[in-house]
Amino acid sequence: MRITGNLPESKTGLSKAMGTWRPSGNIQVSDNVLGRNVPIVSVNVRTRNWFKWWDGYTDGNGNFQCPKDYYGDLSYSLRWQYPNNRFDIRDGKVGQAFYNGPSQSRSAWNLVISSGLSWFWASIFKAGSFYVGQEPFGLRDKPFDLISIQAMDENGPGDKSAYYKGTNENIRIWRNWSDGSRLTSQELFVITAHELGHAHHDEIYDGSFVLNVEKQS
Amino acid sequence: MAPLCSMLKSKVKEPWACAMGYYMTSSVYNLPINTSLNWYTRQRWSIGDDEYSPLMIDMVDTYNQRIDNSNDLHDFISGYTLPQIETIIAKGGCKKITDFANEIRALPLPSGITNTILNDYFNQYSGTNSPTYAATTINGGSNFTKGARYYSPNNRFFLVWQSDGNLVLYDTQENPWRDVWTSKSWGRETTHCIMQTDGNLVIYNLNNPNPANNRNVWCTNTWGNTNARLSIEDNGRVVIYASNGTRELWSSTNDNSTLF
Repeated sequence: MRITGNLPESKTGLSKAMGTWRPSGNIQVSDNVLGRNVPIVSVNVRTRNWFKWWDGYTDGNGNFQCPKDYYGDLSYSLRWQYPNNRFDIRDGKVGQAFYNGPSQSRSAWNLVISSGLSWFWASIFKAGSFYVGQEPFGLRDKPFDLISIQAMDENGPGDKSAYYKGTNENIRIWRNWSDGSRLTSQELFVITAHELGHAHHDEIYDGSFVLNVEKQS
Repeated sequence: MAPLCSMLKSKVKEPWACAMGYYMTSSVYNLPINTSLNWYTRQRWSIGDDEYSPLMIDMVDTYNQRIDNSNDLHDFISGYTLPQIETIIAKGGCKKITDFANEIRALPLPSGITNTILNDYFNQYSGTNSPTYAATTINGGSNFTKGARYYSPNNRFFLVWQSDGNLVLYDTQENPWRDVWTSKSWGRETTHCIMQTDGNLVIYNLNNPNPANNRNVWCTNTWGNTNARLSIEDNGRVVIYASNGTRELWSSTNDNSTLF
C-alpha cells in the first residue's frame, strides 16, 4: 500500500489539507404521464473509492446521505434492489440491473433519470417500492419476498406484455408493446403492480399456487 | 369467451391482481374511476369475458359500471376493504369465485349492502342478470313524519326518520332488525325531513336560532333535479332517481351525502 500510495489519506497526513466530505444526493425519475419528476424510494445507493464502500437506500423523498466521511473522489452507483431484497430488477433474464453514476465525484449526486433503459428500470422500481412500502391500504408489510423482475429490452410477444411465473417467482416485463411502441410510465406502473399482485397472492396463499402466465396484452 | 356456467369456477388470481393494479395505480395517478384503460381497470368486463374480472375492484369501489354500459356488471357492492379481501385470498380453500363469494357472505355486511344485493352481484357470474325490483316511491315535495315508516313493496325494508334525528333504512328479516343504511345524524336536533321538489333529500333543524348557522343537518346533494323521486326498493336500496326514472342521482349503496 505504501508503495502504491493508496493508503487512506488520514494515515498519510494529507487529510487535513484536503478535507473530508460526506456523499449525499437525490434520485428521481421523470414520469411522462404525471408530467413531473418523482422520487425513487428505497433504491440501493452505493458509494465507493479504494478504501470505503457504503451501501444505503434512498428515503421517501429520494434522498440519501452517506454516514461516512470521504477523502477525495468516489464513485456513485445504483443497484436496482429494494431493502432486504424484497424485489430486484434484472437487466434481461439474468444480470442485476445497475446505474453507474459519476466515477470521480467530490459532490452530491442529484440524478433525474429521463430516458434509456434506466428509465424503464426506474419506472418499474417506482411501482414496486410503492407496493411494498408506500401503499395506503393497510396491506401486509411483507407482501412478497425475493422477487426478480426481469426487464426485457424487447417488444413484448403479441399475446402478453408481462407475466408472473409461480414456479420460480419471477416476473417478466417487456419494454415495448408488440408493435414496438414504448409503454408509458403509467402502463409500466399498473403492469408492475398487477404482476406483483400475483407475487403477493403467492406469498400469502395457504395452499398450492400453480404456474400463472398472463395473457393480457 | 369462457362459457357462462364456468365463471363461478374461475380462479380468483386475476381479479386480485386486477384490483392491486387498479388501486395502486389509482393512488398515484388519480385516474377517474370509470377509466377503461386496458390493464388499469376491468370495469368494461362482461359475463363470458376472460378471467380478468372486476370482482375485487367492485367489492371496494362505489362505481356501478352498468350506468355507463349496459353489458357491464350491475355493481351495487361497496364497503369492503382490501385487507379483508387479502385475508380471504390467503386461505388455501379460496381458489374460485364461488369460494370467494362464500367468504364474503361470511363477513358482516357493510353499510348499505343487503344479502339480496350481494347475491344479485355474484349471480351475474353464473349468467343471471341482475333483476329489477319493485319500489315504493316518494315524490318531490313530500314531508316525512317523525317515526312514520315507509315500507318497500315486499314489506321487508322500511325507511324511518327517527326521534333521535337519524334517517334509517331497516331490514326486518334480520333478527334483530339491521340498520342497512343511516344518515348518521343521530343525536342532532331535527325539525324537518323533506324530499324537496328540487330533488334534494334534506334534514333540517329550523329551530336553530342563529340564522348565520347552517340549518341543514344532512342532505343528499341532489338539488337541481326537478321531478326526481325517492324509491325504497325491494332489494334494500334507497335511491333518488332523476325525472327520467332510470338515472340514479344518489343511493344508499353510493352514498355521497353530506352531514353538516
